[in-house]
Amino acid sequence: MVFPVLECFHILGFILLAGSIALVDFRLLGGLMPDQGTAELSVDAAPWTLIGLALVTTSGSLLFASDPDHYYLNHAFQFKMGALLLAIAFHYTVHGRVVRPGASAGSGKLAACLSLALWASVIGGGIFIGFVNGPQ
Amino acid sequence: MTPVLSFAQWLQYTDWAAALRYSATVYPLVLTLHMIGIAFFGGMILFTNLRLLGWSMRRLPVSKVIGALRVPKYIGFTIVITCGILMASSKAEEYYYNWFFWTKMSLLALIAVHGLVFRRSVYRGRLDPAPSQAKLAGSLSLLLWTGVMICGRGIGYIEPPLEKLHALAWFPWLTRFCAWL
Repeated sequence: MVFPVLECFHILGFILLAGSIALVDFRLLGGLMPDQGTAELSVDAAPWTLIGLALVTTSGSLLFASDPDHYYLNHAFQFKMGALLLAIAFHYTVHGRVVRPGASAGSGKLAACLSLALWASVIGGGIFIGFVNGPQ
Repeated sequence: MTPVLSFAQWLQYTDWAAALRYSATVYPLVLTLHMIGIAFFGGMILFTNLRLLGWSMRRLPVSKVIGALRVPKYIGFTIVITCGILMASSKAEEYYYNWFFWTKMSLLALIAVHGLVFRRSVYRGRLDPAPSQAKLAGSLSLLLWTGVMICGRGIGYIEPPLEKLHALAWFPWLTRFCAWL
């Protein structure tokens, strides 16, 4: 009962996390609210990104703690953790820079694509944890 | 046998649905796309609701936020529902016995009703909605979508009644064994 409830918090968390980042990425790509400043939109998104990050890391650590041996040897899990660290690092360095008013549109588009690809990899890695290395 | 059950059996045993069910790579890839769609575009629904509740982007009018997020929401919905139909088809007969699945479908139907009920007052109004209406629509939407998310996760936790499954009718001894278990 605890595990599925934690999973629900995990899903809610990554919707907040990846959804709020995707909002800014879609703006960087030019499709969403083109008349709004990217900087303002990223300020709107930032607190929800943090709440999401807190939710996924808390629920994720507890899910991991339920069976560490199963997870740390799982290749999908290892891939996911690598992608997650990269994605977080990217978000709080490069991504934070391209949303500033002076940044070029080209670098913004490239950063948005990379950001979406990184977060998609994290989600994909998470799904595949249940499908690799034999039965659960 | 109900028409829904015979339809579910027919659907599950179409070539493509069976192939998807037994694929060790395509099925998780479809699920991955389903979840990526939920994360990126469910976020758009979330921000629409957060604005309706007045918790985010308050400097922008409600109607502007709804309008700007409408197209990405539709794109996401198409991706998520396509993947969802593919996965549900591949396990149609099992899901027929899954009450989480039917609750999820009912909640999705309620969300459609919600969209129609608040269409003029909130979602497609010419003017910004009254704050009370906006808050009501936003909180109902958040509740319903949270329910959909919980039921979606719950689907995977319901064991299908093996003795009733058509698939196993081909192997009478296995059916008996499962019933014995």
